[in-house]
Amino acid sequence: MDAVPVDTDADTRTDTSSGGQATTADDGAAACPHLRKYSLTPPESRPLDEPDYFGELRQECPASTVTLGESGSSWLFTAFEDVKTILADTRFSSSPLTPGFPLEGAPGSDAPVAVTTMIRSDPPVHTRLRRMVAKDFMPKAVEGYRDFVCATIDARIDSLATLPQPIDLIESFALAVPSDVISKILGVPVEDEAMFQELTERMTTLSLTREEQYQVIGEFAAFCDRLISLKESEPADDLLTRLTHEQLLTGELTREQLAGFVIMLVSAGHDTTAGMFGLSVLTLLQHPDQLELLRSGARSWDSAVEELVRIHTVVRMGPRRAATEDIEVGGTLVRKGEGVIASILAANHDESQFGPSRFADFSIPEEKPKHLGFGFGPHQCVGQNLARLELGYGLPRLFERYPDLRLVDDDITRLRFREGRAFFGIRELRVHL
Amino acid sequence: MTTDLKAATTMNLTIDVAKCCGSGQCVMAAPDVFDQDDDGVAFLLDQTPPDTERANVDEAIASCPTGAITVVDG
Ligand code: HEM
Ligand code: SF4
Repeated sequence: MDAVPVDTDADTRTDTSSGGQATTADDGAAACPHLRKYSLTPPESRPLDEPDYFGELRQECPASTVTLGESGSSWLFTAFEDVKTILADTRFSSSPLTPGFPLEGAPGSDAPVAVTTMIRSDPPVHTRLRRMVAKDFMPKAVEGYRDFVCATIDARIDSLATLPQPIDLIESFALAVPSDVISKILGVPVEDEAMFQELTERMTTLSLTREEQYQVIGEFAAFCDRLISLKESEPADDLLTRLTHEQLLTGELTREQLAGFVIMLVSAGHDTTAGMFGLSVLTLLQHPDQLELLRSGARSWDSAVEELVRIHTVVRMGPRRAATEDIEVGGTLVRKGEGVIASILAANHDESQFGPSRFADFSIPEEKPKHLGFGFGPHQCVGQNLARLELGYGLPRLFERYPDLRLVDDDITRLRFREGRAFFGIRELRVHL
Repeated sequence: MTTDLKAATTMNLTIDVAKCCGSGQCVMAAPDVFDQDDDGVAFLLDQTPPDTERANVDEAIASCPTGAITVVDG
């Protein structure tokens, strides 16, 4: 096995490249002795950690090739600097329509509603779409949401005490908070909130068949359409009213595009934030010494949140990109039309950059880690400031309000994870208050 | 050595608005130097901030996801 990264600086790849085509598994095999099937399955005894081969690849082959699904293959980058470089470089396209885009194993990315949204588009279209909402999630705006976000979280936390114990924190808290918050920002009427959350849950389930996917997208779009009509006739001080009046009624967005916009915002923020709530509570309950450091003020909740986002990196399938020209990354030549997985999970566990990354070794650093958990480059999470507010307020409040919070089952190998979802998260977290 | 902070500056900043994606990371790092307009696009509150802002500005540049901020030392 190569002890050093494959050096493709010169022309070692020239004879194996298919020039302008997506790499095939055969090309990859010739180029990379570490070829394997892409998998995110963690080690059995350490279900919260990255797969072991990520660590091996970072050491031996940070630009390797993986096979995906039946026939596809892709580059897999695992080193922090390389991943950051790729995400910052707009010559790597986010659109599943770009030749070579590694779609397999990332179901839903090419759903019709997804391909026209900002998360799947490139500049200049991306720039135009992002500017429609960037101001609604910028630090100043999020500061303006603080009061209602805190009140919403307090209400959810209080209501936990009324539930029969033990309670499932995922259902009653982790999934509820992000949905409450985004529905208030968008301006979903209170009486529609339950339906909104139910639709969001189904919307973000990837294991649906194609027909079921179309079905739920259709239902969500109809729901949005009704909401848009409401905002036309009864404008209020909320995001959907603003988008309706500034983008829809001016012809910048069609009605369908606006519905797609809403669906994307909701899908991108729901499971991610919910996943982080569940994983964070679990992590802190399993590391009482760290919780004590937070309680005594020896460590800040700000640092804890960043460290939790780093080690858990709930966006694990990618991000994925396709090269629109020949691009060198850390001495490796990626050819036009080749697919790339820029693994932020692997990058966030890069030992040259960060301290211990295993769940068992969780320890809150003094300084906030500069991780890639919210991505990097122009697509860096638009909701990151909001997510930080939700987690940074919700977690300390929960532990303050219920100082005796404890897990029903301490054995992490018995945890059940959300399956068929785009993002990493725990399915059920039973606790006593 | 002057006591006028304004004079004690060696930084001259520019923002490439075409690159800016409105992430607001610069505002988080150096709120006295950066702000965001109605499209979320960053602009400079102070193009030549005092050297006391150096650490914050360095942090803003390092955390800017699009490389939109540049500093010309003068
Ligand atoms: C802890 C919670 C969250 C995490 C870990 C997270 C992570 C990420 C990551 C890694 C990306 C980059 C994807 C790529 O480069 O292809 C992203 C993009 C995005 N996120 Fe988040 N996110 C979180 C919460 C939210 C929230 C609350 C919202 C809701 C407003 C949101 C909305 C978005 C949107 C709209 C994009 C696409 C941005 C673009 O393409 O320009 N996210 N997120
Ligand atoms: S950090 Fe960079 S991309 Fe984000 S708002 Fe500031 S200049 Fe724009």
